[in-house]
Amino acid sequence: MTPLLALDHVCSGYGRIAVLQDVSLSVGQGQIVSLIGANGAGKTTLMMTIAGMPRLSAGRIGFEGDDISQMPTETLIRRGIAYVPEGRRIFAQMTVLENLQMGAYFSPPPKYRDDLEAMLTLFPRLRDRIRQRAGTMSGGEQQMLAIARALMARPKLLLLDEPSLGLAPLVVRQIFDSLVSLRKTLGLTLLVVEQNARLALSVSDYGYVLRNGRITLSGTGPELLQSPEVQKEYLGGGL
Amino acid sequence: MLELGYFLQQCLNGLSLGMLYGLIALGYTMVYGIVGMINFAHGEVFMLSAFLAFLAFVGLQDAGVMSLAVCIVGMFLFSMAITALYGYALEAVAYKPLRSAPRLAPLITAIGMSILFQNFVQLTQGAQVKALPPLLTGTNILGMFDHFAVTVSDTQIVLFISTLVTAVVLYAVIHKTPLGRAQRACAQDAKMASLLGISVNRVIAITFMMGAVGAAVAGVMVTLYYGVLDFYMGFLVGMKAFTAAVLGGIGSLEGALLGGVLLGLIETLWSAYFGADYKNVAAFGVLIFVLMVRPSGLLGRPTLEKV
Repeated sequence: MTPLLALDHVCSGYGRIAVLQDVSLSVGQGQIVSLIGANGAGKTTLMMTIAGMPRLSAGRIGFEGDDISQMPTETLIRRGIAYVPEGRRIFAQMTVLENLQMGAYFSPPPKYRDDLEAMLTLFPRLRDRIRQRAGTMSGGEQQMLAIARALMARPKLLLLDEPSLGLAPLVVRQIFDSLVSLRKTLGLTLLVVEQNARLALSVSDYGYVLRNGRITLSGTGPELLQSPEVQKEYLGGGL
Repeated sequence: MLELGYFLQQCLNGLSLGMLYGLIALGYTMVYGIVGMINFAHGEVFMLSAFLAFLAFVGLQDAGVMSLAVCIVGMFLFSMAITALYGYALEAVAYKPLRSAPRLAPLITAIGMSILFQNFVQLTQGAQVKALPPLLTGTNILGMFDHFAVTVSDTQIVLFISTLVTAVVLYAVIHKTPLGRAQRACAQDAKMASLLGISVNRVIAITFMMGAVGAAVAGVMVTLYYGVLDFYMGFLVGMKAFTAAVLGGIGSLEGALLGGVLLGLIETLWSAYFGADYKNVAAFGVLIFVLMVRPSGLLGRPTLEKV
């Protein structure tokens, strides 16, 4: 069976600065796959390259078997890839409801109403703040909004970049719990970039370690958690 | 000269002029809001729309249309539609190819387009001033103040109504429709908007067209109100409208109208009491004063919240 997302020998970067070199990875339907690595390893570049900004310089990105590497960003987003960027990037001046509506820009109205209800049930805090300007919410609430906004498009694949950034551990736990439950209820597939390797790997089916723009290690969640390299570099083992 | 009636009459006239500035300022402020730069060819878009209104009038007369109402509606529709296309073309030629270029480059192309439009109209319509007889000649007396009759002309009434309708429609589109949400989203974070599947180029093109329609309403009204056109008319009016947008707080629709009306009132009242010689000095002087006290304009947002 072809995986939902497959990167084949992808190289990418900004102008003449190469960031990713020969990256291959695959994400199967319904899987949670995490990508761990230090700052500057190229994790965000990898996510953005999947979304087409920047374009890859070599290789191929397959989504549902089709080559999407030359598709304009808006086209591939409409094909079912949703992106929750690093730093959330909610529309701060717009209300919570308007942010969610932006996520559902291409949904027909009945679908939109169902999805809105589902999101407000999943994240009850957003229901309380529905008319509030998004920029006035706390970091955790903004992260929930960013995830809910992405899910409003009913994506097949959710790309999640550093969902734990700047959040309290309890909030991070809540967010990860809701992601795991989303996979069950919506059959969602997730590719997660995370600094908090222990948390990410503990909920992942499979993981990749990115180092200086290359994949240096991969394996199932438990395998990577046991691996000496991961323990030493990313889990604070050996200290 | 200091009677109440005279003052009220000048206020009404200033309000009319100010609404024209405000209509054009809407285009500056909307485009600034979404791409973060001043479309310096916008004054020329206004000039084109006035000529289009004139051509529509001549065309309708040639076609034997006698009804004045039909003529005026036809001028509005024709000028708004074609001016919107000019707005689209302007964006496609001068801005779109330079989306990721340094800020200065699209400024230069905008000035280039401005010169191109002026010369285009000069070549095709001639350099001499075009004049139209007044179409709406009625005036209505609002009241008598010490034997001074304060009047409002039919043209002014049409101007007030068309300005308010344009402003309300633009406001409603931006604040109540999915297109408007996409415009505001692109204004805040265009990259994120495209990550939600929004075609940012399309949204920007539509914004230019909406701004052009606002200028076209002003262009038709200038044709009806003053009835005098030349290929160079867009320059000073464009500068004034830009001033109005900055005065009101660039990026704010309400600010554009408020700034326009204030500028119109200052200019007219100054001319009425101190003579017309220094009216532009007065108008720009107020701009300088306001910017010293409130750098973001009267209704501009002074700070952005943290993200």
